[in-house]
Amino acid sequence: MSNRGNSSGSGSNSNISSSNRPEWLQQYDLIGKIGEGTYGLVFLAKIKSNRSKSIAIKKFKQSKDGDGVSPTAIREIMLLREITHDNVVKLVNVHINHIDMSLYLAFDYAEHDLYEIIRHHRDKVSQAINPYTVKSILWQLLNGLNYLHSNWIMHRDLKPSNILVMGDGEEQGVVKIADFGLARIYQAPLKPLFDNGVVVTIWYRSPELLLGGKHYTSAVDMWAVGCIFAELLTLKPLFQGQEVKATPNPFQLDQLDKIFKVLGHPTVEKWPTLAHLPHWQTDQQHIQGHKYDSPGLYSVVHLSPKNPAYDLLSKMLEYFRMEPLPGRNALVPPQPGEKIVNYPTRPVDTNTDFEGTTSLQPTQQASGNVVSGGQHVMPTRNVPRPMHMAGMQRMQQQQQNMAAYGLASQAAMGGGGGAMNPGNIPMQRGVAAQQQQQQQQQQGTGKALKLSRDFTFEHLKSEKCKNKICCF
Amino acid sequence: MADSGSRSTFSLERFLSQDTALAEDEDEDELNEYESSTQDEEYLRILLDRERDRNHIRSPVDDWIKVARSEAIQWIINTRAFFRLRFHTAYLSVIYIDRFLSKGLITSDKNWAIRLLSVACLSLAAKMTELKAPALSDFPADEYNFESNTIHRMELLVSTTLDWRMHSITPFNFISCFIPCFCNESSNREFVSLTTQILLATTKDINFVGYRSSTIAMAATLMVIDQNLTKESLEMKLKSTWLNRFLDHGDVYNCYCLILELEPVKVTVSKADLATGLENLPAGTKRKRLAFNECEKKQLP
Repeated sequence: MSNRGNSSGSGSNSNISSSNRPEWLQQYDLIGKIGEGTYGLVFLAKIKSNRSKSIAIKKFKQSKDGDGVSPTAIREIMLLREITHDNVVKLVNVHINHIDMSLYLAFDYAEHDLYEIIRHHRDKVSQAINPYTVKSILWQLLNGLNYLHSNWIMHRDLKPSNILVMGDGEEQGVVKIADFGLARIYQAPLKPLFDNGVVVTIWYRSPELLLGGKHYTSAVDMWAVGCIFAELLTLKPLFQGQEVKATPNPFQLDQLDKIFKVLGHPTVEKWPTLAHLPHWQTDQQHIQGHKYDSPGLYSVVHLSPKNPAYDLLSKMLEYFRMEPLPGRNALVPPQPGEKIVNYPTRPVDTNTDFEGTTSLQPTQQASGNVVSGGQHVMPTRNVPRPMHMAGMQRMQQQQQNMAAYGLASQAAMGGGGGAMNPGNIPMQRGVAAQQQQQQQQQQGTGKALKLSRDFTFEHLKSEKCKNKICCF
Repeated sequence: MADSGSRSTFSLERFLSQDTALAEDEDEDELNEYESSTQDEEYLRILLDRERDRNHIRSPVDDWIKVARSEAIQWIINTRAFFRLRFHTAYLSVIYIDRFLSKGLITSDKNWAIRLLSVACLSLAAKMTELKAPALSDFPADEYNFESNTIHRMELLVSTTLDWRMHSITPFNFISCFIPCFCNESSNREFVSLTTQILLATTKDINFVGYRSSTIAMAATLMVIDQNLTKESLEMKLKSTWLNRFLDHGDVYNCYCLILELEPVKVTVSKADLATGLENLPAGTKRKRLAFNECEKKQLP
């Protein structure tokens, strides 16, 4: 990464500064810790030369002594170096602390994520997310995912906390897919997720994986997107199964039970490969014998089966599909919303320094900035929350008012679902094909990709302004 | 596998009769991976696009580097067998070595530096492609004995020098596309095995350094089909497939001719060492289930 200002490679130890910090660290003002996960810590920092620029710095946990650079780090950095897309988090630098050989990744900071946005709507404002906002988020998420899949990259760990949304700044409202710690280029061998010693929430895991399937396809990502879509609509995880905590790879009966209860009993007729899936075959827990009624997805998401959004959602959550979907699923909610929602900024634990150790004097931050006290510890979460690769904005005293993440929807007023809609996710019939032709080739190959839960992304191509959440 | 050895001096049999440890230790999954035909044009395009990083590889000019490179690759071939890593992994590490050497960072006569480079590159490649990479301390030491910390530092130096672009494309990425075009399923296994041996042998030969992975993969594939191709008949063969327009006929032919001169590689690890290597396999490695004596039992046709 020599062209990106990474000073590593010289192998010099001269970067022990008077403050005992590596040289590269001097370019940042550390604000505090904003996340912690299996792989390490995430910090929020400002670039000294450009105070308006916030950076999230992910520190990889040191690999076991004698193992060298961690495979996870190599694969994650390698993937991030291969990809450039508006809707994928941007790696701006890789730093090495030559003293202990630890690795730090610097990302553009994103103030929000879908986990927090959903939580805010559910617990704070008790109000659904505006349908146009949902649509824009989904459009951008699919746009990013289409890019990844057309480059043969599977994410494998999509969930609300990994979908970031940019705060104040040029890219305000832009959705970014983050955390590629488990992502793979298709041909790389795929270690089952549960062997990694990684906590991966099972709520977004596809039924074929839950049934012991080993062949990861892009469909596992699409399943997760379906789950996230439903969660954006209802503010509740769609399939909130109780996780069996055991190693290795316990059978997640409750999770499958939750899925089957909504989507109905799977059959070999509808799902030909079902019979080959290990857990279905052995059937130790007698799932085959269960007879689930299908109350239908609409009973959970409260959408009319005639609603195009429902149509799209149900296709993302199909057990099995041979043919790609036609690219004209419209997701057009009936009326635009008007209320602006201000989302809170991300909490920052200012008591932690770059080494991840808690300092005794919380005021002694690298930045010397006045940061809002020491009370902002990470909130306790009831789901495993991985690291955020992309970061967040520094916490301002005036936090709630400052964020001004106006998820309003004037832009949506352009006509109940016409071409003017922001994030015109799957577009309306007719409009779709036309627009898509005009706006091809934005990213990726421009070809329709057979993504499955087999969704074609052709119609997702759209002009830039659609890449942001509503009207900024 | 027509015509083997009729007119040409090239003998496929030599590639068949290699040390069993080398020829036979692919496990089922790896074979299946190559056998599952990936006739996806879009996928091929992405591979071709990605393999361009090899364009920037320059062959070393210093004689001592050429010798040291050859020794380093022999070490990789041995160590691959020792740990039962995938052939793809070994090849990938060789690409890292060549990309690194192209930067000209190793200048004076330092054999130990080349060896350290090969350890770091094989370790990095294993971390990219294997389910579980060997621990640094488990790498077999011969004349050099590097501390884990030293290897770790070298891994970082290699990664940053390669700009963290570790997803290099090897000929092994292509053969799952290429072989099904020329070969029906029944003879697939032997075909894959022969192609693999030829590809492995190309790593040691400095003359292959400038070629694209797709070109080498195609030349090796065609060699297994027919050892007596002329420029014209080679073109005919290529034109009979959908792959034709993706490949440069002249390059493939030149590469094919180079393969005619190629000597099979030998694994110079004792069987006792190989057995030890198997015991040392990281837990959870699939290849563990293939016991060494099973390899010996199976004989090639």
